[in-house]
Order: sequence, then structure tokens, then C-alpha cells
Amino acid sequence: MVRRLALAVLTLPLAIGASCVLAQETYTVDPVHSQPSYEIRHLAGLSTQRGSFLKSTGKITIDRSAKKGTVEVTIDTTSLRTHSAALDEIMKGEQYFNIAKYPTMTFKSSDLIFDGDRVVGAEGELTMLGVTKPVRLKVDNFSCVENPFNKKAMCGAEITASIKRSEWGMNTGIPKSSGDEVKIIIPVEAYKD
Amino acid sequence: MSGRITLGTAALAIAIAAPAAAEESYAIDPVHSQPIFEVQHMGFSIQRGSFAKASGKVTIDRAEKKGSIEVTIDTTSIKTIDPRLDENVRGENFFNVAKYPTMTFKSTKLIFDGDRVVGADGELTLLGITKPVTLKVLNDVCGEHPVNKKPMCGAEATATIKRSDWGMKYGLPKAVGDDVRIVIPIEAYRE
Repeated sequence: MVRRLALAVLTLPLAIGASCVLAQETYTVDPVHSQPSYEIRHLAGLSTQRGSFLKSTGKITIDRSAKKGTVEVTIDTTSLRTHSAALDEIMKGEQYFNIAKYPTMTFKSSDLIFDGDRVVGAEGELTMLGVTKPVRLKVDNFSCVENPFNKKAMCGAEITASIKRSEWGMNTGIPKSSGDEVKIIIPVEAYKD
Repeated sequence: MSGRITLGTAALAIAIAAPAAAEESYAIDPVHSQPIFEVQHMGFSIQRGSFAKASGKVTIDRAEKKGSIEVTIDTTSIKTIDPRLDENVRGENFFNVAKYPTMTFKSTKLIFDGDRVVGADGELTLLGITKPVTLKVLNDVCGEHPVNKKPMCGAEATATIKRSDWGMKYGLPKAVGDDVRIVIPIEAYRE
């Protein structure tokens, strides 16, 4: 009887804790402040050139206690912007992003990597040009605070990853015009739902 | 006698090497040399923008380990994450492009490691204020353009400045950070 009572007493705070602290939190990515950009070597390594996607949407769920979570980001490939309008058109064509056929690319992960209660990475899958391959994201400067102006709860971070574009079948220009390796950089600001 | 021949041979070798030792002049390709900046946004994230128009000249004398850089950035060509923000940063609180349509970086002191450029001590003029800035230069490499076959050099120049040093204080410290990281990819054709 004593044992049962003790068990009940122990279970009670767990149940309270579970509903408050252990609950999963959901965040919606702020598209304006979360524009993915990329870096690629140009002319066999003479310089690094950059571009970005102006439109993307995403959801993040985090359960810090259970150290679990998910990321889902959809990038609108038609919103590509490079350093030249002429290049934008080339990159949107069949040789590169083929936006007529593939207007979006997606990254999905249900395997966030934690260091303590901070997210430091994510194992997931990138779907581009209809091809899905595993990608590991590195997450830096993950922090959650209140927006000083609108007082909403939010999280911010910087996501990076390196991929070989040829693995998704984007082979044009390799290696002389532009490199195979592409560094992806995604600043993230996400508001708690 | 043998000493004189050696001296003569050495002088000849130097005379032959002279063309290579001469100063070379390069014109920056504006399309592939668009300056970028990175700044902390409310401490949450790093936001980026760029200038679509910049022009410049680089001179290098690799034998003498001397050279110069002059870059002019068209501040009206700023592109950020949002057209509304573009208008905002062109205004008086930030770049004040109506009054200061350009910013410039000038250096007559390139820093070498061997025959490669690794930096430049110079001056940045922004909002009418001129202050010293040291650029770090990475990956200085020269070659031939694979398609048009012209000789050219490429590099990546970076620097971190405090914008408040040039009087750009709007939004400090919470909305937009004071530290601004500048990244300039450079492709320059030999003249």
C-alpha cells in the first residue's frame, strides 16, 4: 500500500511535467528572414558565387525533453535570384533547376540532433529534381527568446550543409563552369504557433 | 672572371624575368564581383544583402610584392531580403543613397604571403566618412577563363567593420547588429 502510494506520488509530478515541459512545440518559419542561399565555386575555383531563393515555407517541431523533433522546409525554386537576371533564366531552365517540371524542392527531417537541449543538426532528406537523397544539416547559434518588438516567442538559427549537386542529377557545367559541391546556408527565424 | 660571368648570367636572368615582374593591371568584372554583407538580426539570425553594381581596378606587382585596389560600390544597387527593406536601407537612416550614391574602398598596400595576395590595408569611405579597414584576401588565384581564354584572377575579400564607426547607428543594438561582415567575391580580367 505504501508502495502504491509512493508510486502514485511519483507519477503525479511526472504527469504534470509531461503536459507542460515535455510537450512538443511547433514553430512556423518566417519566410522573409529565412531565405536559403547557396555558394558555389565558379570557373574551376576562381571565385565563389552566390544565389538565394526568396520564397520558402516551413514547420519545425521540437520536444526538448525528449530530444526529438522535425523540420520540413519547402523552397519555391521559381523564386531563385542570382547575381544576374540573365543567369536567373538559365538556372531556372532544364539544365539546372528545371522549374517548369520541379517548382519546389523540399527538405524533411524527423531526426533532430541535440547537444543538451540545443539543436545542433538534423539528419534528413533533400528532394530536388525529383530525386531524394539523405543530407545532414549543421545547426549553429540555435536560440529561442521573445522577439523584442512584437513580443512573440521565436527561435533563430543558422543552418548549413554541403551537397554534391551531381547526386541529384544536376550535372551541367561541372567542373569548369561551376563546381559540383554546393554549400547551402539557411538563416532561420521561426515563430511559435 | 668566373665571378663576372655569373653576374652577367644573373643580370640576364633578371632582365628576362622583368616582364613578369612588371605591374599588371586588372579590371573587376562587375557581374561576378558583387559585394555582400552579413549582419545579425535581433540576435536571432544572420541576414544578408548585396550590391548589384560595383566597379574597380586592381594592380599587382608580384615580384615587388606591391599593388593597389580601388573599388566603387553603387549604394543605390542594394538588394536585401525584401523590396520594402531595400527602400528602408536606401533611406537616411542607413545608406542615405540620395546624398551618398557610392561607397569606396581604396588601398595602396597589398599584403603578400610569397607571391600571393592575402590582404589589403586601405580606407573605406561610407556616408562621407573615411576610416581604415583591413581586407583579408582568400584564395588569390590566377588563370585563363575556360571559355573566352582571357587571363584573369579571382579571390574572395572579407572584412568585418562596425557600422557605427561610419555613423550608421540606426537599429542598434537590438534590431540590427553593429558588426557587419563584408564578403566580396572578385573576378578581374587582365588589361
